[in-house]
Amino acid sequence: MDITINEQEGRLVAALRGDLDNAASSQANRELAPVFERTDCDVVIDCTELTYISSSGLRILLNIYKHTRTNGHTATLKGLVENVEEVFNLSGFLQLFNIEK
Amino acid sequence: MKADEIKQLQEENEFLKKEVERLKDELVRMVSRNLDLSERLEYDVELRRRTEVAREIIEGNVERQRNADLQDDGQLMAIIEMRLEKDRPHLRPDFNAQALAEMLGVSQNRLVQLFRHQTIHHTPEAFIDNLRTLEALRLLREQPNYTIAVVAEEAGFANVRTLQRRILEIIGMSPVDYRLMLTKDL
Repeated sequence: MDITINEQEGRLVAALRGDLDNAASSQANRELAPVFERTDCDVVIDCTELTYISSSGLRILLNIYKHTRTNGHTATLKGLVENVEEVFNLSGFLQLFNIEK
Repeated sequence: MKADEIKQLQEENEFLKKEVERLKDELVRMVSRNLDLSERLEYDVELRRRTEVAREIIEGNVERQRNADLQDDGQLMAIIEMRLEKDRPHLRPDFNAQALAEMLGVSQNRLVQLFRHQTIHHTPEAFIDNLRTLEALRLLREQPNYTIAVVAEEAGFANVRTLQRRILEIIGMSPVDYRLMLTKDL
């Protein structure tokens, strides 16, 4: 699991690469901590290279969604591949997040 | 559009916005609950998988231990046969399972387990009795001048009655009939 965070066009973009499974979720939680420190911008989760996500991974993204919404900003899922998109769809995430191709 | 209509639409718009937010809150709660269930399910599946792996390891260990025990049993059985053949302690009437265990330096329980798995006689007593009976049959064949009482004593039987019973069980005739049969064959 590899995570990079940078700011693009006034939005905070967190790019996730590899499998966000139960084993990787603690590491992901730590590395995504800067997202929770920001209250002033929209957040984009770039899933272009995300290959798998478990329920503990979904939990982290749900917390990001709740954080940005509480601060009056939007959370966006970007570049979903087919199998990951199906997981997001089944878990109701596609109704919560904004979606970008 | 009249000002009051615009105001009404704005109010409806506000209401719908609030309704959307309320529904989103509700959806977040439902998604969160689903994740709780999914995590529990994943935990159960993982626990089941680990349990299965542990079971396989335990079964493998039990099998290996059983094989090791069998090997030890085989060695112990070979030692018993060697000692009995060399010292022939079973020809003494007081030689029993306890004496055999003491001779070998093992517990009587160990012997009981060993004979249950390693011999057709199933008990140490039956095994010793069988050796005495074989010795008695040999004496009946090779020592025609021995009385039945002497054969019983020499073979390690405590009394003639036991010798008669054992020989009858094994060959289906009494010691006297066995001797008569051998004489007829000659």
